[in-house]
Amino acid sequence: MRCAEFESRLNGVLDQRLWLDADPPLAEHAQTCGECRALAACYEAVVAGSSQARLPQPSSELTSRVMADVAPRPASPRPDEAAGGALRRISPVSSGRRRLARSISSRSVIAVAAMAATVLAAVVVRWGQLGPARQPRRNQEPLASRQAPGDWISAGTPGQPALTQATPSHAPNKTPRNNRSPYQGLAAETSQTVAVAMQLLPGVGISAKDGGNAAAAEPASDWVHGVADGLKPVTEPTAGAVNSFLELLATGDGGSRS
Amino acid sequence: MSDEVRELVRRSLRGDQSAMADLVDQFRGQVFGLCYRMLGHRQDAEDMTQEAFARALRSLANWDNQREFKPWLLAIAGNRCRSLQALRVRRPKLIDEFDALPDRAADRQQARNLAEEVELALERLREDYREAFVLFHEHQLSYAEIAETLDCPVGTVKTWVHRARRELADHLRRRGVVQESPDALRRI
Repeated sequence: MRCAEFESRLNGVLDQRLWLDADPPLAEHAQTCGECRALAACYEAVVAGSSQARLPQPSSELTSRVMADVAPRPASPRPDEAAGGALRRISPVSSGRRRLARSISSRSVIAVAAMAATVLAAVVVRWGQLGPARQPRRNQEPLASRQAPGDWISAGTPGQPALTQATPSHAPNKTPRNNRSPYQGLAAETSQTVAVAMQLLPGVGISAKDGGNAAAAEPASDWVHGVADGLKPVTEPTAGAVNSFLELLATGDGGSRS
Repeated sequence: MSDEVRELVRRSLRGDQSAMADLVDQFRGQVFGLCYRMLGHRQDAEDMTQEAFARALRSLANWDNQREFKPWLLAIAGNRCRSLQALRVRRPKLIDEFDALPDRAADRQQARNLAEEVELALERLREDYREAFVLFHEHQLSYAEIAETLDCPVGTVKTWVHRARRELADHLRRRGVVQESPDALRRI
Protein backbone atom coordinates (compact mmCIF):
# COMPACT_ATOMS: atom_id res chain seq x y z
CA MET A 1 0.00 0.00 0.00
CA ARG A 2 1.17 3.51 -0.75
CA CYS A 3 0.90 6.43 1.66
CA ALA A 4 -1.33 8.30 -0.80
CA GLU A 5 -4.00 5.67 -0.41
CA PHE A 6 -3.76 5.42 3.35
CA GLU A 7 -6.01 8.25 4.40
CA SER A 8 -8.88 7.47 2.05
CA ARG A 9 -8.73 3.81 3.02
CA LEU A 10 -8.63 4.77 6.69
CA ASN A 11 -11.75 6.87 6.17
CA GLY A 12 -13.39 3.90 4.50
CA VAL A 13 -12.72 1.77 7.57
CA LEU A 14 -14.00 4.47 9.92
CA ASP A 15 -17.12 4.84 7.79
CA GLN A 16 -17.93 1.25 8.68
CA ARG A 17 -17.37 2.10 12.36
CA LEU A 18 -14.36 -0.20 12.42
CA TRP A 19 -10.68 0.31 13.14
CA LEU A 20 -7.36 -0.48 11.53
CA ASP A 21 -7.50 -4.12 12.56
CA ALA A 22 -10.38 -4.65 10.16
CA ASP A 23 -8.07 -3.93 7.24
CA PRO A 24 -4.82 -5.91 7.58
CA PRO A 25 -2.96 -4.16 4.73
CA LEU A 26 -3.82 -0.82 6.35
CA ALA A 27 -2.57 -1.96 9.75
CA GLU A 28 0.65 -3.34 8.23
CA HIS A 29 1.34 -0.08 6.45
CA ALA A 30 0.74 1.91 9.65
CA GLN A 31 3.31 -0.25 11.44
CA THR A 32 5.97 0.38 8.83
CA CYS A 33 5.28 4.08 8.05
CA GLY A 34 5.64 6.57 10.91
CA GLU A 35 3.84 9.34 9.06
CA CYS A 36 0.79 7.21 8.37
CA ARG A 37 0.89 5.82 11.89
CA ALA A 38 0.72 9.37 13.28
CA LEU A 39 -2.15 10.14 10.97
CA ALA A 40 -3.98 7.06 12.17
CA ALA A 41 -3.33 8.13 15.78
CA CYS A 42 -4.89 11.51 15.14
CA TYR A 43 -7.95 9.97 13.51
CA GLU A 44 -8.26 7.55 16.40
CA ALA A 45 -8.14 10.46 18.84
CA VAL A 46 -10.87 12.28 16.92
CA VAL A 47 -13.19 9.29 17.01
CA ALA A 48 -12.39 8.52 20.65
CA GLY A 49 -12.78 12.15 21.66
CA SER A 50 -16.17 12.45 19.98
CA SER A 51 -17.41 9.36 21.77
CA GLN A 52 -16.06 10.61 25.12
CA ALA A 53 -17.56 14.05 24.69
CA ARG A 54 -20.22 14.64 27.28
CA LEU A 55 -23.10 16.71 26.14
CA PRO A 56 -25.14 18.56 28.73
CA GLN A 57 -28.60 17.17 29.27
CA PRO A 58 -31.73 19.19 28.67
CA SER A 59 -33.62 20.38 31.71
CA SER A 60 -36.19 18.10 33.24
CA GLU A 61 -38.98 20.55 32.41
CA LEU A 62 -38.40 20.25 28.70
CA THR A 63 -41.04 17.59 28.16
CA SER A 64 -43.67 19.48 30.13
CA ARG A 65 -42.87 22.66 28.23
CA VAL A 66 -43.24 20.87 24.93
CA MET A 67 -46.54 19.39 26.02
CA ALA A 68 -47.79 22.79 27.12
CA ASP A 69 -46.71 24.13 23.75
CA VAL A 70 -48.66 21.58 21.74
CA ALA A 71 -51.70 21.46 23.99
CA PRO A 72 -54.82 22.77 22.26
CA ARG A 73 -55.46 26.35 23.29
CA PRO A 74 -58.82 28.04 23.65
CA ALA A 75 -59.54 30.41 20.80
CA SER A 76 -58.49 33.95 21.58
CA PRO A 77 -61.48 36.23 22.06
CA ARG A 78 -62.30 38.82 19.43
CA PRO A 79 -61.86 42.46 20.40
CA ASP A 80 -65.63 42.88 20.64
CA GLU A 81 -65.92 39.77 22.77
CA ALA A 82 -63.04 40.94 24.92
CA ALA A 83 -65.04 44.08 25.60
CA GLY A 84 -67.68 42.06 27.35
CA GLY A 85 -69.50 40.83 24.31
CA ALA A 86 -71.57 44.01 24.23
CA LEU A 87 -71.19 44.40 20.50
CA ARG A 88 -72.22 40.85 19.96
CA ARG A 89 -75.37 41.39 21.98
CA ILE A 90 -76.22 44.52 20.06
CA SER A 91 -75.59 42.99 16.67
CA PRO A 92 -76.04 39.25 16.88
CA VAL A 93 -74.61 38.52 13.46
CA SER A 94 -72.81 35.29 12.94
CA SER A 95 -69.18 35.46 11.89
CA GLY A 96 -70.01 33.97 8.48
CA ARG A 97 -72.61 36.61 7.78
CA ARG A 98 -70.25 39.28 9.06
CA ARG A 99 -67.57 38.10 6.63
CA LEU A 100 -70.13 38.04 3.81
CA ALA A 101 -71.25 41.57 4.65
CA ARG A 102 -67.66 42.77 4.68
CA SER A 103 -67.04 41.07 1.35
CA ILE A 104 -70.13 42.51 -0.30
CA SER A 105 -69.34 45.92 1.10
CA SER A 106 -65.84 45.95 -0.34
CA ARG A 107 -67.04 44.61 -3.68
CA SER A 108 -69.79 47.24 -3.82
CA VAL A 109 -67.30 50.01 -3.20
CA ILE A 110 -65.11 48.72 -6.02
CA ALA A 111 -68.08 48.40 -8.38
CA VAL A 112 -69.40 51.88 -7.60
CA ALA A 113 -65.96 53.40 -8.06
CA ALA A 114 -65.49 51.60 -11.37
CA MET A 115 -68.85 52.70 -12.66
CA ALA A 116 -68.29 56.30 -11.62
CA ALA A 117 -64.96 56.22 -13.42
CA THR A 118 -66.66 54.75 -16.49
CA VAL A 119 -69.33 57.44 -16.57
CA LEU A 120 -66.67 60.10 -16.23
CA ALA A 121 -64.61 58.49 -18.98
CA ALA A 122 -67.66 58.35 -21.26
CA VAL A 123 -68.30 62.06 -20.71
CA VAL A 124 -64.68 62.91 -21.39
CA VAL A 125 -64.58 60.78 -24.53
CA ARG A 126 -67.80 62.27 -25.79
CA TRP A 127 -66.55 65.75 -25.04
CA GLY A 128 -63.38 64.96 -26.98
CA GLN A 129 -65.43 63.82 -29.95
CA LEU A 130 -67.46 67.02 -29.98
CA GLY A 131 -64.60 69.38 -29.36
CA PRO A 132 -63.08 69.24 -32.88
CA ALA A 133 -66.49 69.75 -34.48
CA ARG A 134 -66.69 73.17 -32.94
CA GLN A 135 -63.38 74.19 -34.50
CA PRO A 136 -62.79 72.26 -37.74
CA ARG A 137 -59.20 71.26 -38.32
CA ARG A 138 -57.24 72.34 -41.32
CA ASN A 139 -57.24 70.08 -44.39
CA GLN A 140 -60.53 68.74 -43.26
CA GLU A 141 -62.94 68.05 -46.05
CA PRO A 142 -65.67 70.69 -46.49
CA LEU A 143 -68.42 70.44 -44.03
CA ALA A 144 -70.97 70.35 -46.84
CA SER A 145 -69.65 67.09 -48.22
CA ARG A 146 -70.01 65.46 -44.84
CA GLN A 147 -73.51 66.55 -44.22
CA ALA A 148 -76.30 64.16 -44.71
CA PRO A 149 -79.13 65.14 -47.06
CA GLY A 150 -81.75 67.08 -45.28
CA ASP A 151 -79.31 68.81 -43.02
CA TRP A 152 -79.09 72.52 -42.82
CA ILE A 153 -75.52 73.39 -43.80
CA SER A 154 -73.40 76.45 -44.08
CA ALA A 155 -71.53 76.20 -47.38
CA GLY A 156 -71.31 79.82 -48.30
CA THR A 157 -68.33 82.07 -48.51
CA PRO A 158 -67.89 85.24 -46.51
CA GLY A 159 -70.16 87.89 -47.86
CA GLN A 160 -72.44 85.44 -49.59
CA PRO A 161 -74.99 84.00 -47.27
CA ALA A 162 -75.63 80.61 -48.58
CA LEU A 163 -77.68 78.69 -46.16
CA THR A 164 -78.94 75.82 -48.22
CA GLN A 165 -81.37 73.12 -47.43
CA ALA A 166 -80.74 69.80 -48.97
CA THR A 167 -83.62 68.04 -50.60
CA PRO A 168 -85.49 66.18 -47.90
CA SER A 169 -86.67 63.57 -50.42
CA HIS A 170 -83.10 62.19 -50.68
CA ALA A 171 -83.26 60.88 -47.17
CA PRO A 172 -86.77 60.66 -46.01
CA ASN A 173 -86.03 58.49 -42.97
CA LYS A 174 -83.23 60.64 -41.56
CA THR A 175 -83.76 63.27 -38.97
CA PRO A 176 -82.20 66.62 -39.73
CA ARG A 177 -79.07 66.99 -37.66
CA ASN A 178 -80.01 70.35 -36.24
CA ASN A 179 -83.20 68.84 -34.90
CA ARG A 180 -81.29 66.25 -33.00
CA SER A 181 -78.92 66.85 -30.13
CA PRO A 182 -75.45 65.43 -30.77
CA TYR A 183 -75.49 64.32 -27.15
CA GLN A 184 -78.75 62.53 -27.42
CA GLY A 185 -77.24 59.08 -27.28
CA LEU A 186 -74.92 59.87 -24.43
CA ALA A 187 -77.01 58.25 -21.78
CA ALA A 188 -77.48 55.14 -23.90
CA GLU A 189 -73.78 54.93 -24.71
CA THR A 190 -72.93 55.47 -21.09
CA SER A 191 -75.20 52.70 -19.98
CA GLN A 192 -73.69 50.41 -22.61
CA THR A 193 -70.20 51.32 -21.45
CA VAL A 194 -71.17 50.66 -17.86
CA ALA A 195 -72.53 47.27 -18.84
CA VAL A 196 -69.31 46.40 -20.66
CA ALA A 197 -67.26 47.63 -17.74
CA MET A 198 -69.29 45.48 -15.41
CA GLN A 199 -68.37 42.50 -17.53
CA LEU A 200 -64.75 43.25 -16.84
CA LEU A 201 -65.18 43.58 -13.11
CA PRO A 202 -63.77 40.55 -11.34
CA GLY A 203 -66.17 38.37 -9.53
CA VAL A 204 -69.44 39.87 -10.66
CA GLY A 205 -70.34 36.68 -12.43
CA ILE A 206 -70.89 37.92 -15.97
CA SER A 207 -69.39 35.82 -18.70
CA ALA A 208 -66.78 37.51 -20.83
CA LYS A 209 -67.72 35.36 -23.79
CA ASP A 210 -70.26 37.91 -24.91
CA GLY A 211 -67.49 39.94 -26.44
CA GLY A 212 -68.52 43.13 -24.77
CA ASN A 213 -71.99 43.11 -26.25
CA ALA A 214 -73.97 45.22 -23.87
CA ALA A 215 -77.20 43.57 -24.84
CA ALA A 216 -75.76 40.22 -23.96
CA ALA A 217 -74.44 41.43 -20.66
CA GLU A 218 -77.11 39.74 -18.68
CA PRO A 219 -75.96 39.75 -15.09
CA ALA A 220 -75.35 36.32 -13.77
CA SER A 221 -75.95 37.18 -10.18
CA ASP A 222 -78.49 39.04 -8.19
CA TRP A 223 -75.71 41.00 -6.65
CA VAL A 224 -75.10 42.82 -9.94
CA HIS A 225 -78.77 43.69 -10.21
CA GLY A 226 -78.66 44.99 -6.70
CA VAL A 227 -75.67 47.19 -7.35
CA ALA A 228 -77.13 48.51 -10.61
CA ASP A 229 -80.43 49.32 -8.92
CA GLY A 230 -78.60 50.94 -6.07
CA LEU A 231 -76.73 53.16 -8.53
CA LYS A 232 -79.81 54.42 -10.33
CA PRO A 233 -80.44 57.31 -7.94
CA VAL A 234 -76.90 58.45 -8.69
CA THR A 235 -76.51 57.69 -12.38
CA GLU A 236 -79.84 59.02 -13.64
CA PRO A 237 -79.57 62.54 -12.19
CA THR A 238 -75.94 62.60 -13.20
CA ALA A 239 -76.75 61.64 -16.78
CA GLY A 240 -79.52 64.22 -16.88
CA ALA A 241 -77.24 66.92 -15.58
CA VAL A 242 -74.51 66.00 -18.03
CA ASN A 243 -76.96 66.01 -20.92
CA SER A 244 -78.32 69.42 -19.94
CA PHE A 245 -74.81 70.80 -19.69
CA LEU A 246 -73.83 69.44 -23.08
CA GLU A 247 -76.99 70.69 -24.70
CA LEU A 248 -76.25 74.10 -23.31
CA LEU A 249 -72.81 73.94 -24.82
CA ALA A 250 -74.20 72.74 -28.13
CA THR A 251 -76.66 75.58 -28.26
CA GLY A 252 -73.92 78.11 -27.82
CA ASP A 253 -71.80 76.32 -30.39
CA GLY A 254 -74.53 76.24 -33.01
CA GLY A 255 -75.08 79.94 -32.61
CA SER A 256 -71.48 80.73 -33.28
CA ARG A 257 -71.41 78.55 -36.39
CA SER A 258 -74.47 80.09 -37.98
CA MET B 1 -37.50 2.19 13.24
CA SER B 2 -38.77 0.26 16.18
CA ASP B 3 -42.38 -0.72 16.43
CA GLU B 4 -42.49 1.06 19.73
CA VAL B 5 -41.89 4.41 18.07
CA ARG B 6 -44.43 3.65 15.37
CA GLU B 7 -46.98 2.85 18.02
CA LEU B 8 -46.19 6.06 19.89
CA VAL B 9 -46.63 8.05 16.72
CA ARG B 10 -49.90 6.29 15.95
CA ARG B 11 -51.25 7.06 19.40
CA SER B 12 -50.00 10.64 19.23
CA LEU B 13 -51.88 11.12 15.99
CA ARG B 14 -55.02 10.10 17.83
CA GLY B 15 -54.33 12.84 20.35
CA ASP B 16 -52.88 10.70 23.12
CA GLN B 17 -50.94 13.15 25.28
CA SER B 18 -49.02 10.49 27.16
CA ALA B 19 -47.76 9.02 23.88
CA MET B 20 -46.54 12.44 22.83
CA ALA B 21 -44.73 12.85 26.12
CA ASP B 22 -43.12 9.43 25.71
CA LEU B 23 -42.01 10.36 22.23
CA VAL B 24 -40.39 13.54 23.54
CA ASP B 25 -38.70 11.65 26.38
CA GLN B 26 -37.31 9.08 23.98
CA PHE B 27 -35.63 11.57 21.64
CA ARG B 28 -35.04 14.65 23.75
CA GLY B 29 -31.41 13.84 24.47
CA GLN B 30 -30.52 13.37 20.83
CA VAL B 31 -32.41 16.39 19.61
CA PHE B 32 -30.92 18.53 22.34
CA GLY B 33 -27.46 17.15 21.58
CA LEU B 34 -27.71 18.14 17.94
CA CYS B 35 -29.05 21.58 18.81
CA TYR B 36 -26.30 22.09 21.35
CA ARG B 37 -23.63 21.10 18.85
CA MET B 38 -25.05 23.40 16.23
CA LEU B 39 -25.65 26.39 18.44
CA GLY B 40 -22.97 26.03 21.11
CA HIS B 41 -25.28 27.51 23.70
CA ARG B 42 -27.29 25.58 26.21
CA GLN B 43 -30.34 27.81 26.54
CA ASP B 44 -30.64 28.35 22.81
CA ALA B 45 -30.31 24.62 22.29
CA GLU B 46 -33.08 23.95 24.77
CA ASP B 47 -35.35 26.53 23.15
CA MET B 48 -34.74 25.04 19.74
CA THR B 49 -35.31 21.54 21.08
CA GLN B 50 -38.67 22.64 22.42
CA GLU B 51 -39.58 24.29 19.14
CA ALA B 52 -38.48 21.27 17.14
CA PHE B 53 -40.59 18.89 19.20
CA ALA B 54 -43.58 21.20 19.07
CA ARG B 55 -43.32 21.44 15.31
CA ALA B 56 -42.80 17.74 14.92
CA LEU B 57 -45.78 16.86 17.06
CA ARG B 58 -48.00 19.31 15.22
CA SER B 59 -46.99 17.91 11.86
CA LEU B 60 -46.82 14.24 12.74
CA ALA B 61 -49.38 13.57 10.02
CA ASN B 62 -46.82 14.70 7.45
CA TRP B 63 -44.30 12.10 8.50
CA ASP B 64 -43.97 9.24 6.03
CA ASN B 65 -44.20 6.18 8.24
CA GLN B 66 -42.25 4.16 5.69
CA ARG B 67 -39.18 6.16 6.67
CA GLU B 68 -37.18 6.44 9.85
CA PHE B 69 -38.56 8.76 12.48
CA LYS B 70 -35.28 9.94 13.95
CA PRO B 71 -33.80 11.54 10.80
CA TRP B 72 -37.11 13.31 10.20
CA LEU B 73 -37.12 14.67 13.73
CA LEU B 74 -33.45 15.66 13.61
CA ALA B 75 -34.02 17.39 10.27
CA ILE B 76 -36.68 19.57 11.90
CA ALA B 77 -34.31 20.36 14.75
CA GLY B 78 -31.49 21.16 12.33
CA ASN B 79 -33.73 23.49 10.36
CA ARG B 80 -34.79 25.30 13.51
CA CYS B 81 -31.17 25.76 14.52
CA ARG B 82 -30.22 27.06 11.09
CA SER B 83 -33.08 29.54 11.22
CA LEU B 84 -31.88 30.79 14.58
CA GLN B 85 -28.32 31.02 13.36
CA ALA B 86 -29.46 33.10 10.45
CA LEU B 87 -31.23 35.48 12.79
CA ARG B 88 -28.81 35.96 15.56
CA VAL B 89 -25.33 37.26 15.80
CA ARG B 90 -23.34 34.45 17.23
CA ARG B 91 -22.11 34.95 20.70
CA PRO B 92 -18.36 35.23 21.26
CA LYS B 93 -16.99 31.77 21.59
CA LEU B 94 -14.78 30.45 24.29
CA ILE B 95 -12.65 28.97 21.58
CA ASP B 96 -11.12 32.35 20.85
CA GLU B 97 -9.92 32.67 24.43
CA PHE B 98 -8.81 29.09 24.41
CA ASP B 99 -6.66 29.64 21.35
CA ALA B 100 -4.71 32.27 23.22
CA LEU B 101 -3.49 29.66 25.67
CA PRO B 102 -0.01 28.24 25.10
CA ASP B 103 0.07 24.99 23.16
CA ARG B 104 1.47 21.71 24.38
CA ALA B 105 0.61 22.07 28.02
CA ALA B 106 2.51 19.20 29.55
CA ASP B 107 0.29 18.67 32.55
CA ARG B 108 -2.88 18.17 30.55
CA GLN B 109 -5.03 15.34 31.64
CA GLN B 110 -5.20 13.29 28.50
CA ALA B 111 -8.62 11.72 28.72
CA ARG B 112 -10.45 14.85 29.78
CA ASN B 113 -8.64 17.07 27.35
CA LEU B 114 -9.19 14.82 24.41
CA ALA B 115 -12.96 15.18 24.68
CA GLU B 116 -12.68 18.90 25.38
CA GLU B 117 -10.30 19.43 22.51
CA VAL B 118 -12.60 17.60 20.14
CA GLU B 119 -15.53 19.67 21.35
CA LEU B 120 -13.63 22.89 20.87
CA ALA B 121 -12.45 21.79 17.47
CA LEU B 122 -16.02 20.94 16.55
CA GLU B 123 -17.02 24.48 17.31
CA ARG B 124 -14.57 25.70 14.73
CA LEU B 125 -15.74 23.44 11.98
CA ARG B 126 -17.80 24.60 9.10
CA GLU B 127 -21.46 24.19 10.01
CA ASP B 128 -22.31 21.47 7.51
CA TYR B 129 -19.13 19.52 8.33
CA ARG B 130 -19.95 19.71 12.02
CA GLU B 131 -23.54 18.63 11.60
CA ALA B 132 -22.59 15.69 9.41
CA PHE B 133 -19.80 14.61 11.78
CA VAL B 134 -22.01 14.87 14.86
CA LEU B 135 -24.82 12.93 13.24
CA PHE B 136 -22.42 10.19 12.19
CA HIS B 137 -20.18 9.83 15.24
CA GLU B 138 -22.36 11.03 18.10
CA HIS B 139 -25.84 10.09 16.92
CA GLN B 140 -24.68 6.98 15.08
CA LEU B 141 -26.82 7.72 12.04
CA SER B 142 -25.99 6.01 8.78
CA TYR B 143 -24.88 8.03 5.78
CA ALA B 144 -28.26 7.46 4.16
CA GLU B 145 -30.05 8.77 7.23
CA ILE B 146 -27.78 11.79 7.44
CA ALA B 147 -28.41 12.50 3.78
CA GLU B 148 -32.12 12.39 4.49
CA THR B 149 -31.72 14.62 7.53
CA LEU B 150 -29.61 17.19 5.74
CA ASP B 151 -31.46 16.81 2.45
CA CYS B 152 -28.34 16.30 0.38
CA PRO B 153 -26.68 13.41 -1.50
CA VAL B 154 -24.91 10.63 0.37
CA GLY B 155 -21.65 11.42 -1.42
CA THR B 156 -21.77 14.97 -0.14
CA VAL B 157 -22.33 13.75 3.40
CA LYS B 158 -19.33 11.40 3.14
CA THR B 159 -17.16 14.21 1.89
CA TRP B 160 -18.26 16.44 4.76
CA VAL B 161 -17.57 13.76 7.37
CA HIS B 162 -14.14 12.99 5.90
CA ARG B 163 -13.21 16.67 5.84
CA ALA B 164 -14.46 17.10 9.38
CA ARG B 165 -12.23 14.24 10.53
CA ARG B 166 -9.27 15.70 8.77
CA GLU B 167 -9.78 19.17 10.25
CA LEU B 168 -10.32 17.77 13.72
CA ALA B 169 -7.21 15.62 13.44
CA ASP B 170 -5.27 18.65 12.28
CA HIS B 171 -6.54 20.61 15.27
CA LEU B 172 -5.51 17.87 17.70
CA ARG B 173 -2.07 17.73 16.14
CA ARG B 174 -1.61 21.49 16.35
CA ARG B 175 -2.77 21.52 19.92
CA GLY B 176 -0.31 18.76 20.80
CA VAL B 177 -3.01 16.46 22.05
CA VAL B 178 -1.67 13.54 20.06
CA GLN B 179 1.88 12.83 21.11
CA GLU B 180 3.64 12.20 17.86
CA SER B 181 6.57 13.64 16.03
CA PRO B 182 5.62 17.09 14.63
CA ASP B 183 7.04 16.11 11.27
CA ALA B 184 4.98 13.01 11.10
CA LEU B 185 1.73 14.75 10.29
CA ARG B 186 2.78 17.00 7.50
CA ARG B 187 0.19 15.49 5.23
CA ILE B 188 -2.76 16.49 7.38
